[in-house]
Amino acid sequence: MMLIIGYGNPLRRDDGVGPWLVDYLSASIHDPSIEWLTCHQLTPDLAEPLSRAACAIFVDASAEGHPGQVTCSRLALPVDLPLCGVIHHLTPQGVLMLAHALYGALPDACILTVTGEDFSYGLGFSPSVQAQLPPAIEYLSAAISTQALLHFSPE
Amino acid sequence: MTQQILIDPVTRIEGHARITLQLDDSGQVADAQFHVTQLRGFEKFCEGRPFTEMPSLMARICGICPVSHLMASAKACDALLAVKIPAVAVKLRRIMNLAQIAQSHALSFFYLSAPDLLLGMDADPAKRNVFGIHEVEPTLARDGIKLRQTGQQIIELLGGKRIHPAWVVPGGVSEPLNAAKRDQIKAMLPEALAIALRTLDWFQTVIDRYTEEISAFANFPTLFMGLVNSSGGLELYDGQLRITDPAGIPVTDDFDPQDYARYLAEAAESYSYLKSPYYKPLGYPDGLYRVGPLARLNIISQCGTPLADQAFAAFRQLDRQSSFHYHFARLVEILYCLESIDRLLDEPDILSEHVRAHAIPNNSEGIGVSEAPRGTLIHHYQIDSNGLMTSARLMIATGHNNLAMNRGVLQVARRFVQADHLSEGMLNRVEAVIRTFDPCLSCSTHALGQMPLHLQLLAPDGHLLDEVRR
Repeated sequence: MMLIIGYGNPLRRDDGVGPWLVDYLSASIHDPSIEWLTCHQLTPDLAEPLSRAACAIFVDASAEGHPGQVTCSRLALPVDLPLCGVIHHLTPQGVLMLAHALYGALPDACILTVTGEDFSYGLGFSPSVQAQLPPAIEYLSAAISTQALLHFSPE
Repeated sequence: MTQQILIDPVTRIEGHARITLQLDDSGQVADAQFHVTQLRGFEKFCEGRPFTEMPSLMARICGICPVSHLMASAKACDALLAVKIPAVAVKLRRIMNLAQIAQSHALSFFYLSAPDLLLGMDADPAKRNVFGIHEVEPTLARDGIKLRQTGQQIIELLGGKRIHPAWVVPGGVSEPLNAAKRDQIKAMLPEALAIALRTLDWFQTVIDRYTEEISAFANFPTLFMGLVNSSGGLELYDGQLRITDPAGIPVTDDFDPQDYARYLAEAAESYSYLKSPYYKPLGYPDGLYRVGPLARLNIISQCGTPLADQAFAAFRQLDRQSSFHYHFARLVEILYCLESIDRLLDEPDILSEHVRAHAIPNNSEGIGVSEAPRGTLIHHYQIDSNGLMTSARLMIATGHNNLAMNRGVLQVARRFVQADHLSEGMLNRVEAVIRTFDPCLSCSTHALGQMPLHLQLLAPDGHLLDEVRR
């Protein structure tokens, strides 16, 4: 099973790019081997579906890099992730750690981010994010069609 | 020389708060204050909006208990419409409310408080999380995730999404339940019930380790308030409001929630944005009362479902004044919620498609009251002739407990805190008494970022004497 998690707040403009991408793709791709999830933020209960996945893609907005930059990077278990804040401020690595600790499973995982520039209240994306939706869709579609995480060279 | 200890922020609660402990000249705790430090302003900025937007707007108060605000808000709007909503809509709303309470209680018990209950109040803070639980009781950690997931999935199946579903609307709900979703929900319940029973069994084996905390965690006589049904049993959606004395004896006749303002008023303190409701006849601050799971179980005669009633009998053997037993009460209510969902799904009309009443506004004032995970929730609206909001008053469950939480912090601090010898365990107990109430400060704040404990010991002139971070 491939798990694709889009997270962010759709009412904070570019922050909602993760859920938007997942909603967009899940509306057109009907493959029972793919599980789609959208949420505002990562929570501990995601560890359970993550533990059932062979591979997982987190899709998120980023505030780092130049606006519209699309980046994909592999995720590995961190050696010394501080644990105190794992409930209120979970990262993809934190959820992976939970899946590994609680269920003994660790999917092949990556995170695809689109750098945003407008995180104010409202709907719709900034022009720079809007312009970079096609490469993000292209990567996700390719990964889905091969059921594997792919090498990705942004721009 | 007087000194001050500041715990800022308080950790493993829903939202941001801090605690100030004021020491006297001899270094003993003289006073304590629980501060909610951020203003959200929902009552003000909804003025001028169409009342039909209120359920969706009010759900945004919180990401933990949006369903509770949906319920109270939709009920207030029903009152504005002056409609009696279809019977099946009541049942469907009840199911969502029960799922909400179950998932929220699971979050409170397993994620926020279980680290203290399993590992002890003096455990290493770095271990007081779900990873620490997993090292000692892996089943407990997985059970917490599964139980919360079950409640959230039920909400999603009914309302389309887990957080801020728009399915509860003025006049009923927007869509009926279908057979496939009903069967899917029913299939989840046996495992969830098994988890709840297993957890209750486990908790009963460890509760005796906490006799000192039971005796000091907001353990004092107060009034209790909550909804009850027509036979005096547990009620989470409708019914009458009951206020009892510390022994569970009603201090007044049960009353229609529409009359809440005859009995309840609110005070404001300069040190907190959280209002302090009180029972009017006793005045402020003597009219403090508690709401939520402990209060609900203290005011009723029975739960009304078999497994919950068995657990309720065990609950009744406990010291009913101790807020430590909010934890036990939550487990009883989780059982009740799961059993009640199962029962409601078996109702012959549960798949009926008549789920919404339509009307134009027929009243200029509407009050909606339901039980949220943390206690009684009151939404009180007024509209103009165009249906635009002119006033909103929200009495949040956590607010009802504000006075009791403040007194509880003082009680714990006096018992456990010695200013000349600060320890993690002392500080954690001060926070843990707040956690027993499971305050949802997201209803008046929004948590963002890391939540470290920051304690400062200040001299009267404000200079820093000592500091502890984690």
